[in-house]
Amino acid sequence: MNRIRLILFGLMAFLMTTSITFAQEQKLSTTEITQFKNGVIAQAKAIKSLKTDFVQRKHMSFLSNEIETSGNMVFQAPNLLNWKYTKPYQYSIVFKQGKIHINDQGNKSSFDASGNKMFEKINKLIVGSVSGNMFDDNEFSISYSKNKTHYVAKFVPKSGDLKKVIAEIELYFPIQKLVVSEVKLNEYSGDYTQIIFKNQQLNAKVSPSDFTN
Amino acid sequence: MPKLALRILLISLSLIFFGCGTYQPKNAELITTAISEFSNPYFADISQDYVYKANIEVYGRNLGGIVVIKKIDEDTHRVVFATDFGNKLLDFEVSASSFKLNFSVEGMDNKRFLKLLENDFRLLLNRNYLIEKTFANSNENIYESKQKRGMLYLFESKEKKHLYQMIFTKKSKEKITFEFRNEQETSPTQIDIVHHSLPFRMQLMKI
Repeated sequence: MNRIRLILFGLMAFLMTTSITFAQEQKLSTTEITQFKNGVIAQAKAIKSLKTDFVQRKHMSFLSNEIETSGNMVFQAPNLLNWKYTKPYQYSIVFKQGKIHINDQGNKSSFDASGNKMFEKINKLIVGSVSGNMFDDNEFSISYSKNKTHYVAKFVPKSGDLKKVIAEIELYFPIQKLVVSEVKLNEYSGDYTQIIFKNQQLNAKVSPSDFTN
Repeated sequence: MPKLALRILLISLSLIFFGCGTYQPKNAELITTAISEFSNPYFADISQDYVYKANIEVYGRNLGGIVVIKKIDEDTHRVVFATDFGNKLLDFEVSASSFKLNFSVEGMDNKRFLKLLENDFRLLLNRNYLIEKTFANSNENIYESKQKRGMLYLFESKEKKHLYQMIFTKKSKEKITFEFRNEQETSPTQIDIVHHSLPFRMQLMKI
């Protein structure tokens, strides 16, 4: 009986240490934070445009499977953006000159959002998530860490509407290339949305038609 | 005599009232009044996630997003509305006798709106409908099921043996129509919910 208990205890300890090793995230030192932030800000400034594919996975604890959608995104500095889902349905949203244009499977709608504070925040959030430059200490409590492959910046909204719906935003940056490769939006319930960028083309040629839906 | 006249008048009036109060499915004959049960063929598999792209028109406003339906126990379903970006807007659990709101963003927590969704999804996700009357014509069987606030008519195609429509009526008037397009047995590929006395319609397309 004692032997079984020992074996089980050993197994448990093994599982615990391996999971700790795999999930190992090391906090950045103050110097590392400054270096990392400067690196990201410099890289974000150098991004005049960006084209990328993405896969979005919605995790809800009560579902058997994650909900997967995918598409592509085109961004042009400072704030032109076309976020387009192509699978399993067609839906695109364009942010252009203070207006939002939606094409939901052929149903088109537009609305003026200039001067709308919530819109400005969302726009800033999306552009920030794409470029990586979201280091606004007034808006978020930010923590920095790294694992073997990525820097991880975690943003906890401090107040307002964002705080009501999002518990935390995680941005992942590959250590070799300081451009966001993954965004994770954590809800208070433990459910989350994960967006992974693929085939990123920095400063790719864009045209006005890329921002028309 | 005036008393008798009044009584006759009341009886006639009540006959007219009740006569008008019965909804009769068009072009169908009553074939039985024996009580039986109709098992909902949809949303019954506890291992399945039913995920739909939603389009909602409410008071002239258009809302798009994702609706997820999941059976979580014998009597209860969990329903989540989310944006296309995945942000949860509304999360509730509904059964024949209960409704529990797990989460709602501001603006979606309107009492009348929630009541409407509770009623619609209760009708849609009911496990068994108690049938009091059965009507039929050459193409379909129509089952009448008494609900809390009215009557529900379930239209089953004789040829394909599937539930393709439900009509909820109140005092003989059609109030809500549910239409199902169905290429699969366990869940419809498209659901259209149309309210006839409210500016509300919802289209769900399976993804």
